[in-house]
Amino acid sequence: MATYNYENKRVIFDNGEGGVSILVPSPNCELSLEQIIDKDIPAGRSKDTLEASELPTDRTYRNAWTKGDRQVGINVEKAKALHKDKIRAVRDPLLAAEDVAYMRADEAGNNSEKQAVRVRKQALRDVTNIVDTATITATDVNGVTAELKAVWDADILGDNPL
Amino acid sequence: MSNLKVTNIQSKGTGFNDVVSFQNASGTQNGTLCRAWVNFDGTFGTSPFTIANGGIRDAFNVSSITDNGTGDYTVTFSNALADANYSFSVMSATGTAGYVGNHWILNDVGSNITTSSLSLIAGYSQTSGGTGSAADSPAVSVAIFR
Repeated sequence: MATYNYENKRVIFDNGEGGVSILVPSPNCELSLEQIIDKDIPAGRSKDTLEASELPTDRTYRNAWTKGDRQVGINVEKAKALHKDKIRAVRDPLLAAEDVAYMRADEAGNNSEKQAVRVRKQALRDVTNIVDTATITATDVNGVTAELKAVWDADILGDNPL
Repeated sequence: MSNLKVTNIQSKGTGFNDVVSFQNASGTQNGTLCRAWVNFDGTFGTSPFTIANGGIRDAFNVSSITDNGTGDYTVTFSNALADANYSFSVMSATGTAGYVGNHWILNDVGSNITTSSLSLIAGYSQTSGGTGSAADSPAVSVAIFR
């Protein structure tokens, strides 16, 4: 039985949709890495073989990763869109809670509380704007990821879960 | 009653799909073998298994796992199966306490279940009946029967 020492290798390749796929070779399939690449990666795709340690470790914005030149890159605009989704996931239950607060204020005839709820709901609706205006200076995946994760309004959304 | 105690059972053919047939006394097939299986870390980053075992803890008839995105995996077989009418069983762990559990989505049956590979997306919902979203899974098990 042939044995191959490629378990720490990863092959990044263009996924054909602007992103990157990452092939992890199986350590006991009795094929060489070259045979696996030829068999498992569609023909004509740009590809590079890297060490596993060269890949980004934080996968928070994995779907924004791109195939760079011998490295994994990141599409900042796609990463920002993913970050907005994460904000929305936290925001949705907060908006629902404000709806309840508004109804209770309405039932109590408390107009000042109703106005306060309106203000808080608008702040929640506008909270994703901070992502659009955020300036991301890093260009590598780990740097962009760290900067983007810090774009969070804790006063409106609470503790940053990222 | 007799017992068969051997180390290897060989089929007569040399092809991967020339499988040994299990039959009852009437010659009716009464069982099949698992044609491929794999246990891998779908987070590809934080598990101690990732570096030690290439992310794949162990496998049979699997040449690679491809990470296509968050929770999006392709299992590629070392040897293609006879056809794409196989049955597959998939289990995964969320890795996060309190999540309801993983479900699996096939994007498109035609392109995601082939003789050479199987593509799957792992996801979970945080509430019972809630909207699911794709998520990496630290423990994914796939078994193929044909």
